[in-house]
Amino acid sequence: MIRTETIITPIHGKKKITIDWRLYRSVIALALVMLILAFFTQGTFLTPRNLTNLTRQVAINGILAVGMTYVILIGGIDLSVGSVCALAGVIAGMCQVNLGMASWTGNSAWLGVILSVLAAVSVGVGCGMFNGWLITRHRIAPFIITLGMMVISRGFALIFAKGAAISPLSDQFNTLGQGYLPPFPSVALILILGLFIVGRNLLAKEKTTANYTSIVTAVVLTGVALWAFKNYRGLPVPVIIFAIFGILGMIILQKTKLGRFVLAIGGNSEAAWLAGVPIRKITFGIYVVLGALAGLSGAILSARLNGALPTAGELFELDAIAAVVIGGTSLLGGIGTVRGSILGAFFIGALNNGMSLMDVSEFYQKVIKGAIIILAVWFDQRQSKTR
Amino acid sequence: MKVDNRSHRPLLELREIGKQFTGTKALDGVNLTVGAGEIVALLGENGAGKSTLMKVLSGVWPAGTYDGEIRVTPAPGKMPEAIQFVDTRDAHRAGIAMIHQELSVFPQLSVGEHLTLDLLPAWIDWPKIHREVQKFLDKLDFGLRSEMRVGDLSVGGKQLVEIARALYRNANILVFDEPTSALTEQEVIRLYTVVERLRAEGRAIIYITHRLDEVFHLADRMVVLRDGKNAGESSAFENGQKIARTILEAKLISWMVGRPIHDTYPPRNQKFGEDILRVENLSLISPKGKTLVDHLSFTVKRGEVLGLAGLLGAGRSETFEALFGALHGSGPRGSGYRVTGNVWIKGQRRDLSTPAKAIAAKMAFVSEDRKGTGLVLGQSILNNMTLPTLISGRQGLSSGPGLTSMIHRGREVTVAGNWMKQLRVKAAGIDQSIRELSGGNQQKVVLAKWLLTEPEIFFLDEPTRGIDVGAKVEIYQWIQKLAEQGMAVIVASSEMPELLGICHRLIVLREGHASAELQGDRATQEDIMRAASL
Repeated sequence: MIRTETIITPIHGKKKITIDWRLYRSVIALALVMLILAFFTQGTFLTPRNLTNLTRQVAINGILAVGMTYVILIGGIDLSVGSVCALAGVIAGMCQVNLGMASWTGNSAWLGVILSVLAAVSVGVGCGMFNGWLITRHRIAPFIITLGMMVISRGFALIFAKGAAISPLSDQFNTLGQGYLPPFPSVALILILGLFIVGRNLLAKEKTTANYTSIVTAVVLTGVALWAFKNYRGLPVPVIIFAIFGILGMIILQKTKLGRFVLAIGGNSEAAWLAGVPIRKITFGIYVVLGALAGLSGAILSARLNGALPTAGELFELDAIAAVVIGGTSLLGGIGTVRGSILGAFFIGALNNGMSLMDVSEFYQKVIKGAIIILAVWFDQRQSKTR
Repeated sequence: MKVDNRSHRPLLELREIGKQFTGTKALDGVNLTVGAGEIVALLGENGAGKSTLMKVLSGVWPAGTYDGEIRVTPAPGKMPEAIQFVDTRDAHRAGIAMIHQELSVFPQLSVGEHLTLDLLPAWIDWPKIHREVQKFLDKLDFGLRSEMRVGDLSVGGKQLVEIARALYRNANILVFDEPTSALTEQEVIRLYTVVERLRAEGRAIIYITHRLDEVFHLADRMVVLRDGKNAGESSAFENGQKIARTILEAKLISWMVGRPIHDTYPPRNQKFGEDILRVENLSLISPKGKTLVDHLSFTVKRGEVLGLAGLLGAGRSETFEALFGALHGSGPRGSGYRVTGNVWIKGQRRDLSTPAKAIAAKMAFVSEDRKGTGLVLGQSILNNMTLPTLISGRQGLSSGPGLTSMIHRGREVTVAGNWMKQLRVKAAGIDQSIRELSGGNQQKVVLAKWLLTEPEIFFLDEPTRGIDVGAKVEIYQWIQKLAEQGMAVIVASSEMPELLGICHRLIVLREGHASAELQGDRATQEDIMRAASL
């Protein structure tokens, strides 16, 4: 037994300073990868234009990774998100094309967008409810249920779309995937957010190293974001949606009761249950939310492609799971952060984007990406063991 | 204290063992000798260094990571030799076997497979192996059959498999680590017989336990560790006579805690209030249709400490689980349990079908299995402590009752820290991982976690299992203090002296129903046993 016990130090006394190496490591790893990619692409990687594209490409996987973090934290898994994305996209496409919403004009066009997105999200919610219902009521392993759901929803996507792409969609709908918030409001938004984070950490009563880490990270990120988005066309709409859900995801996990309960369920569901945590309700809810996010991602994806493809979203589930795991979340549940998953999504996105810029063949890209995912997780686990 | 050792040829000598973990000395020059045909009880509080010493002995900590020397006598008539283990296999080869507290058997394997697991040849002839193993088992006479599935055996049966496995490998030095903590009375008696037989065969036995009863029953010699050092050592005999228990007990306890403890059991609370909990015809039926609790009725007053006694499987834990809503269909055990009966709290009929409802009715439940159902081991002390209070929304720990309401961490730290101080939890800080605490401190966190919810009815299932004497006494004191403050406390325990020492009244359970009600200050262990097993 390790004897490091001392009588507890006074609560408001001097805090032991601990450095969150886990976070530092991921940030440094991401920065390194980006620098290497910049070097091999002769700087193309680090242009405002490419960084804007990169964030837009990351957005969809990022949104899914935020939801997937919660599912993995409670000890579950969801393999159906990619197919649900496709199905929801097809439904949105059908609203636009088959129901003629794409030809609505003026304000009605925007109403059409809202209805199409709602339809897509509802389909996602439906799939999530089906997953959650079987998992919580009938106690079938999440892996099996969502594997089945993955095949079923892909099938329905192909059936509804009759195997072909549904297009064209309205310009208004396409802004969801292709639009930008103009540079000036983008700059304002980024500045407000950056200042808010820095301010909160500066005003914290007892500052720990975590506060200083946050301040430095926030300043650097705000700077890069300002430069990238001001000098190109502003913030892409999908990135704004990603940011909203990312921030919500972080706040809920860190600051609310729900977050605490999610960690408790994943850590020890028996103990959580005896402490009064409504584990069935929360588990069900989390699958539904991930379904809804998959539905929304489907709509964004169709908008980016100006058409709903029943074959879209292939392997999105694996990218989302990889992002979560690279971000340090344990597949056994109970330990992990949303922040890590977001970093993980950027890591994967940067690899994809960089290798495409370098003209690496898509076949090799797959091999390299897989190897790097394994390496990243292996390294991370070794580090946390020696700690 | 010098001990006459001439009668036992030493089989094992640990000399001046020292072991450091980043800055702290876990072991500091510990000596331990065990002779052939000798049972040495190794005692000490949690964190005294027993586990570390046994890890050194069993090769978990390889040679070079500790100081000192391990000497083992390889065969009768030979001199002890110093040996160095690189890993646990080397320790096995030297004839050292550990019988763990938490049994490491594979439930899906047969007894024969389990015994031969790492000795199997490349080509396996199962019928032949089972025949050979059966021959060996017949000699042992444990009542085991080679084809039995280990998972189907009781805890005691699994332990016998572990012992058989050690003997199959010709282990000469056996370490028992809290072997009786999960056994029934009959299984304990059978274990004693087995251990005594191993002694008669001339093997060396190290027996780790917190139960002094066992020490007096079995041990030839007792070695006490405290803070990683030898704190004292005594033979069980003096001039060929067994030393009187009372004398020995006082000595052992003072070595263990470093100060004499006069009263293990503090005086019982004398302040009673009105009836607070009334249970009528409580029954619990398992998914397989087995009756676990059978029409149980009782009443508890404020200030009263009620005991639930009975053999393993008599329905002690199940009574708590049924009353606390732990077996509701939306819980992790799934649907299929059926609970019937009525419960009144302060004269009002209450629905206690889920733990959340029970907590709202001001009930608290310290479960039997601290690590399995009591704590979220991967999380901090703070997160564990405030979990049920966050649910109930008391103490102003969050901005509202809803699931997405914000947690006020400052308030949390104040409230939880206060209880941590009151219960004297030893930890580096409130954010330390609960996994790193000793058993006694973990149990205090569980207590604190429930006290934070401000309960009026407190269920304690095996509240002192696997924790040291010092922490035990503190918990007994808390029980009386809480009763004095007007709480009704119900304690279930398999340790009869404990129940007799702290309870006002005892209900003895047998096959799920109450077979007797006894007065705590008048009843004897024989009374309980008679009611429990007749």
